[in-house]
Amino acid sequence: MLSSDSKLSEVFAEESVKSFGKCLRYALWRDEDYASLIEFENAETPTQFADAVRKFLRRYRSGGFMDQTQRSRASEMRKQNRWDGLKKLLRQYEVGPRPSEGQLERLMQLANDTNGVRLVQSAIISYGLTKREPYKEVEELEKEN
Amino acid sequence: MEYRLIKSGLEMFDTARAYGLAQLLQVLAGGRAAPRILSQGGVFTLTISTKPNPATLKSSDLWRGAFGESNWQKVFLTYKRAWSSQRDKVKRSLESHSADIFGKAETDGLAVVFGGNFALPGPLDPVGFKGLKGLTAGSYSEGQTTVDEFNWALGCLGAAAAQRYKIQKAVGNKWEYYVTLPVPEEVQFGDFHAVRQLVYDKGLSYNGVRNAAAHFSLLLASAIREKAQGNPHFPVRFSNVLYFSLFQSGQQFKPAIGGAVNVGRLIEIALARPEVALEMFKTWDYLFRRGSAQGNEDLAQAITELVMAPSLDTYYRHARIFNRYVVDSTKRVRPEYLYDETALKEVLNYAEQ
Repeated sequence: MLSSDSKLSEVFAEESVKSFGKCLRYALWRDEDYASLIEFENAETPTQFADAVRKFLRRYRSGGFMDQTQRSRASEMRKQNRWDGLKKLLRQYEVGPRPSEGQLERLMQLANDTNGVRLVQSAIISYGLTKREPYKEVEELEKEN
Repeated sequence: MEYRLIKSGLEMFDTARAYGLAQLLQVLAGGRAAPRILSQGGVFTLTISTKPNPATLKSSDLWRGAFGESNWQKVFLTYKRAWSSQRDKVKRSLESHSADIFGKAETDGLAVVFGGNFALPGPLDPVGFKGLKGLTAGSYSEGQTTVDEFNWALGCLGAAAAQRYKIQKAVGNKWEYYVTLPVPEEVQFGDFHAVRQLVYDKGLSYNGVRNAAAHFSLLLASAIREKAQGNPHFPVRFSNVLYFSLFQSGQQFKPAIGGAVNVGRLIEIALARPEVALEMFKTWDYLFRRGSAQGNEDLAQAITELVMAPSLDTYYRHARIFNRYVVDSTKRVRPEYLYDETALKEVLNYAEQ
């Protein structure tokens, strides 16, 4: 729960916000999920925010698995900078980072009033403005899978 | 040696007077010493290590150079073709009275005497001049602001040295000037020239004077960062950037909106955390440059508001609009212009100041 004088920079550094923000950034890159971005921006109340999170998670496919052959294929694409093909492959196999249940709970606790929603949504969409390192991100995913 | 200028309350004029006296002192020191301008409440204090000798003024090359500045025509913009005679008047005036100016500034402090015989040119008095000085159909008239000769001449000299004029084409085949002037808090005049060189010639196609002033503030902070080379006590600090626009109406130039941008925080970031500032300013400069292109005005407007009036609302607007450009594959933002996490944290702190 956020106090009325909570700072945006503190919220931005919160582990749950960071994890969720990075998932959104990944979804914007892999799936061009513009709809989720708009829904986060338009949420004003905790209920609307929870709704935006729910819809995002429903759209966002992750936690999938690639076998050894697909992983080598993805690795080759990454090394050759064939990003469009790689995005397609990752989408097809639903491979991507995912926030944990605890992090989601914490996120909803932070956004439990209008002020909290405003801060959390600002912090989350801010992750979309940070430098992406798709090479590194995909490498991490390859290791995880 | 210490000299004091008592502020009159006309901020643009007072600031120009301080730069004018600094310019005069630097010329008289023959470039061997540079004065330091310090703003102390109701006065500007200028200190210099050498005692000026006004007798050497007429023969100084630096002095002649100061009147070769292209800015003079703009300072006397409202005088049209008579601008050069006004410039010569300033030169003559300072050559004959500089000893008196130093005498007053050293003892009691040089104060402005209003109601003198010298009318302030428009760019020194943007609040007071309206382009209309004669009778109108509604019998409305307003006299010009007049002051004493010493301060008038100092103000004009300072305006030519420190005001930045960005000319831009406006609607209807007319021209518009965006004028900016940084207000010194503590400025070593020699370093000011170095910073000036990095900032004053840069410019974009702006979509308003606020946009021009915000970009100027950013360039100023960025130049200070570059010149300071990691020295957090670099002696060039400004408190505000004053701005206004002059637009062409018929045959006359008239002032439009004006105001001040607080640049203290930007300069603090530039001096205290130069590496983070480099990243942050790079992204902001990109947003100004990208925003100057037709169709991207929303980007420029959002970053202008964030720089000028930092708050959660202005940050949020900036983040929303920037995100659209990042996500939209037809617009594309090159990855090097995105924030890194430390720079973004600094931006968030700036928004919450």
